[in-house]
Amino acid sequence: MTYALPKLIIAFIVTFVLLFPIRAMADTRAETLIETQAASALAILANPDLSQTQKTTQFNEKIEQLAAVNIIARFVLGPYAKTASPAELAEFTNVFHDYALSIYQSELGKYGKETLKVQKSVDRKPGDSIVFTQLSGGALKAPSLVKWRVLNINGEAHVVDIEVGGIWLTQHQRAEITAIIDKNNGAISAAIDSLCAKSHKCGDAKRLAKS
Amino acid sequence: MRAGDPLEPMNRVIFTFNGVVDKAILVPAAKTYRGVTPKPARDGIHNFLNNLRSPVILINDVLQGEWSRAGDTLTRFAINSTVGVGGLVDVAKRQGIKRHKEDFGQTMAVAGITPGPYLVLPLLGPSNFRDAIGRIPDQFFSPLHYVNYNGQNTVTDVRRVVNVLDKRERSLKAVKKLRRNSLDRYASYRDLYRQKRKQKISNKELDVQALPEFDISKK
Repeated sequence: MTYALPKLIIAFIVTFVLLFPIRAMADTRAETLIETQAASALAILANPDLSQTQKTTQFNEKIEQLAAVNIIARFVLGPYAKTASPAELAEFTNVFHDYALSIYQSELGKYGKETLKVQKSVDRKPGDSIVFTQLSGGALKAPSLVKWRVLNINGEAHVVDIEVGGIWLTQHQRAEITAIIDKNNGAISAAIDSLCAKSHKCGDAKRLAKS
Repeated sequence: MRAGDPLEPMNRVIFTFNGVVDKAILVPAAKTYRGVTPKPARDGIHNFLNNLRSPVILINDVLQGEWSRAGDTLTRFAINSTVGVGGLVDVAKRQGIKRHKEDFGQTMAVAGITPGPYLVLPLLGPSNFRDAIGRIPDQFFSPLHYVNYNGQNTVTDVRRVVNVLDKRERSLKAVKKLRRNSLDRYASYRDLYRQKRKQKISNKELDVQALPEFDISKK
């Protein structure tokens, strides 16, 4: 009995030391990513010294670092990600990439002069956090809340979804893309064509291939 | 069943019909309304309509046992109806009492009633079986329903028309952007409706465990 208590205390301390830093680090990493990288992505869009082309290029580079676009591309295919051939998956990912960047730019482009402040973060599970941020100032009449879903992928934190105005963008993209594939009896090519129709880059590539 | 939408073929037909009506009547009407009514007047009308909806929100707050929110709705209604000149000015918002929305569809959801299949209602737009049924009691919760003029619900009808104009005018930009960005407009509206409803039912509280899983096994 006299030995049981110290053993219990040591076990508690070991458990605390082992578990607590991991949880705290997951939150901190996700919060830091949003505080630094997301804020600098918004700053690019607000920079008056940059031309529109420069803004697009720099913003896209930043989003490439920030978001796990390949993982998002597989997610938006829903159940069809499992049935897609490697070639289809590669083509879809390539086309989706441009579309996703344009959507992020369109959704986040309305911000820029605003100040992004991390309010808190919640761990859904280890390596899966939701960072709550508030954008205020600039052109906003009232503060706007934006949530970021951050996953730890191979030791690096990446954004996989953003909630703006109550809508999770990646989930929304999945709803649209799977609806197109459903409507076309499971043909992923239909989703690729729809994405192509929205992407100038893809349209140019197709036109070049035809000529 | 595709995406909880067994009535999709019928829904798509109604969705197309609504789109035609929107383009032919609502958009021109909303643009005209914007053109002839200055912004402060439009804001006043918007506030007035919101204030008229307060009794419906209050009853649903109470039915859901949301006493604090019911208090907010009641306070807002009292302040805006008096100091806010019959609701034309949202004085309560300036005092930090924010508006929230409630309806009987949300009350049923809180009581555990599932939404049922997705439904597109003619002229009214996205809904589901639960929320469509919820529209009926909400009408009776509104005091305006009992105001008759020469035996007709003229006041309610006028409120409905102005409400549609107000909503459509305020969403002109958002709908234009949605049309430009969406890959499948029908699926887009369906998902927006579902996500927004989920958010309203939970009173904007995020259930993190309900978020979908991402497959990170392959980068």
